[in-house]
Amino acid sequence: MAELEYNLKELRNFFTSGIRFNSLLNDKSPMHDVAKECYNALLTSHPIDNTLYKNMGIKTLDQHLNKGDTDKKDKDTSNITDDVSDIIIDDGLISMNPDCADNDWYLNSPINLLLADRRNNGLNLYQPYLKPTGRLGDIATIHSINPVGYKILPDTHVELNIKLADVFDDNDLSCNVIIVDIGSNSDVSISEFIHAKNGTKIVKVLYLVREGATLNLHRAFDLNNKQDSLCVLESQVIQFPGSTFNAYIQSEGNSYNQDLMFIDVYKNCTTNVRGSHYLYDNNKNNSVVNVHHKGPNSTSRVDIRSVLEDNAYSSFLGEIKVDKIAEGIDADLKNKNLLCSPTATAFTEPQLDINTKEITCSHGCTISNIDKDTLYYLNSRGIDNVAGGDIIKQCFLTE
Amino acid sequence: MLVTQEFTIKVDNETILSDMTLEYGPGVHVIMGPNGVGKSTFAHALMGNPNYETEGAVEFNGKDLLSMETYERARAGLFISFQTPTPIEGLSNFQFIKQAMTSLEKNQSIKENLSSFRQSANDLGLGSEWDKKQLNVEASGGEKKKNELIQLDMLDPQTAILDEPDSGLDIDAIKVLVEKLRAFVDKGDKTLIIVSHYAELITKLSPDTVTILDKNGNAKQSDDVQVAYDILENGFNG
Repeated sequence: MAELEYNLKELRNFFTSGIRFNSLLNDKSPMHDVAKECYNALLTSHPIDNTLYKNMGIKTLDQHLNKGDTDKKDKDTSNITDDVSDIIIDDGLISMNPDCADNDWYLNSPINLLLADRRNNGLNLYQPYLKPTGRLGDIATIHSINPVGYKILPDTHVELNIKLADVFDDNDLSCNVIIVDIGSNSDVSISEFIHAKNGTKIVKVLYLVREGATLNLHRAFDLNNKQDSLCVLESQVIQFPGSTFNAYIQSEGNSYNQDLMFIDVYKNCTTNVRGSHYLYDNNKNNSVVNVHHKGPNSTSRVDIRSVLEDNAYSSFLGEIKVDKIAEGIDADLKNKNLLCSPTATAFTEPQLDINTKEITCSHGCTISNIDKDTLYYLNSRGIDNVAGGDIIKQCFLTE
Repeated sequence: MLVTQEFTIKVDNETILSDMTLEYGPGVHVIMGPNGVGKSTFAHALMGNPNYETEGAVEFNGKDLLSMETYERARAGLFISFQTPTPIEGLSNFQFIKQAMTSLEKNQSIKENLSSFRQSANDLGLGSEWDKKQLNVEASGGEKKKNELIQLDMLDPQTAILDEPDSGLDIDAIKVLVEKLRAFVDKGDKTLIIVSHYAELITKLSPDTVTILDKNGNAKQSDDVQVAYDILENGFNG
């Protein structure tokens, strides 16, 4: 077995080598054109040097050596199941889990899987949403074998468990491009589980929340194998007029984690993003939430919280941008960090970019320690420092 | 029995109260003094508030109180009510009391605890959803005081130090307060130490001793409770 070690910058040399089949080389890939655009952009400036990552401890990701197995064979996913997931996804792969759905459900399912090898899959139509950004998600677009996704039909109410799996179970870089298309006036709840693989995973997910639709996204990062896992998850959310997007994100960080969410909000929308991160040991988490109000009369709430223990590391970069035509916006951006260790580190950077009048917009970011008065109050009722500290941390994350 | 010997309390090296030798056995004891002399400081220093430095000795039911952490003092049977109880967002009133009862090893079923909690809240005129409300969050001053009384009821300590439990309460609530405190003392072997200048409360509780703290940081304890009534009538300078 031949093994190739490379970091993310060195990967640039392999995009065109044919060592791994990808959307750039495959002129039949539905993402071929946009992969070419991303590749051309990357030749002038590598995403890992993007200043967006300045407080994200990017060196950890930069220096990580991915271990490519050049003899790797295509993997059959038909046998890959688990007990809870309705749909399992990895690079170029998507399958409904037969253990979780009966035949009737398949037949009557309001879900269409988007597969590159299926005729008239329409995946290429999503390319305009995946233009180069100069971020690491571009690498996913270039290097993914093929995009996959699922489309929920209009006027549907459905709850789904989705697993972003590690089908290949190797130490090589994994790149995924996923399209999630929520039909108009649908009401969809997605529980998304991000499996922690050994090594680096770069995932770009496009969520289209069509007119009048509601998407409730509960994203949970794997609590196992955190110390060996590096993950870059870049979400692009497009909220069509009258839509609602509620996201709840939970993690304990991992060796290196980026959870980036860019949300374009058109008129009369509601957006809620809540993050809850309990970080300890040497775990890291970097959150970006960027809400771009492109139409009037929408409401957005962002509230990201982290508790940091031991040598944990957290960064938050939040932005609310309001275009000139987007009057009547009510937006609030919060980031709160509870530092429970002198060797833990938290960065927080809120930004407001307001280009109109007649709006309500606020932000607040804090980094604090455990409040001594609160702990004393708990102590005075017989609750010791350990239990009291746990209560304070839990309440901080869930209040 | 709570006994202090040459008990001195300092904040940032400044002496607030000095050389206090006091004794509080089962029964009712009132602490009085002009504003700012350190009545609350005295109470919180006994509970072990880390903001205060202490010297001297305090014995609580035969144990060295000053060597104990705050939570150990609570577990030994000491309770203090706060003038301004701390709000904790995300923690319900009942979750808090449940955790406290577990810590104090007062083993009742959750159902029994909840039933007692609701009864106590109902006695004080708090709403039926009070158990679900967040601890001291968006509560009025009176509601917070009532919540402290529920805790006293539920945790049933041996010695309770109540810091102006009447402030913020309306007339009806004060009636219930008196009843609850009377019931607490009538259990026998309970020590109730009250910081208060509220005549009706003091009269109805018939204190056994009164302790006067003065502006020079001294404390004087007397079992002649007429001292308290004189102060209530004439003030501290009368």
